[in-house]
Amino acid sequence: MGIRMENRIGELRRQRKMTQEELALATGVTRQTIISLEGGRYNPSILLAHKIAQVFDSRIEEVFIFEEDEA
Amino acid sequence: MKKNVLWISLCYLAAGLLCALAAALAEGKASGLLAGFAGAGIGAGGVLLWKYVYWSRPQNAPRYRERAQRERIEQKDERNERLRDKAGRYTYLLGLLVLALADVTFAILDATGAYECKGLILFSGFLLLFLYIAGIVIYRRLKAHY
Repeated sequence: MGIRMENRIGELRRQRKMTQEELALATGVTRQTIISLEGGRYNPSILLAHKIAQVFDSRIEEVFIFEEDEA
Repeated sequence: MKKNVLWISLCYLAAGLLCALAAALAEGKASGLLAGFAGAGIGAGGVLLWKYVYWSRPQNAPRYRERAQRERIEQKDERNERLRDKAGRYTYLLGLLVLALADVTFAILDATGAYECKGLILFSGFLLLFLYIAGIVIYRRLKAHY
């Protein structure tokens, strides 16, 4: 049984009317990284996850959702 | 732009000019080699010096700060770092494969008498062994450190 991670980065970003570029600048990464994160193609490090959660004024668990994969 | 860029560009220019002088005084193949070094030094030094002068102008300061920040982010971006590491690993493996194939090719050419390349066989064989061992040693050191 594995663990799958999904995120609400795109949803939370749009709620706050932020562009991907603004979020990238706020977290110190490139826009391509934000695009990859939102598309689920890249999993962030704990530091980056923490920074993103701080920008959204949320907890990490509210931004990144872990689900158990029933294989 | 940092002042050391100016000093580095001047060093390159000085080295290039010295090589140009030596090329003018030398004879034969050495002259050609030195002329090549002179071109590289003067070219690289000239470009670096032009960049330093251009980006040090007060009217370009805001654009330079933005550019420097973007470059810093590109450099330190964690996804880019991971991709660079992955690219390095693939390149290392590809390099080992190419060297192994080259070594075999040289051995066949030498054995059939088509082309004498004992020196190339030894060199590529040594390089292959060195890269393989270096990969293992560096991996073990990183494993112990982290």
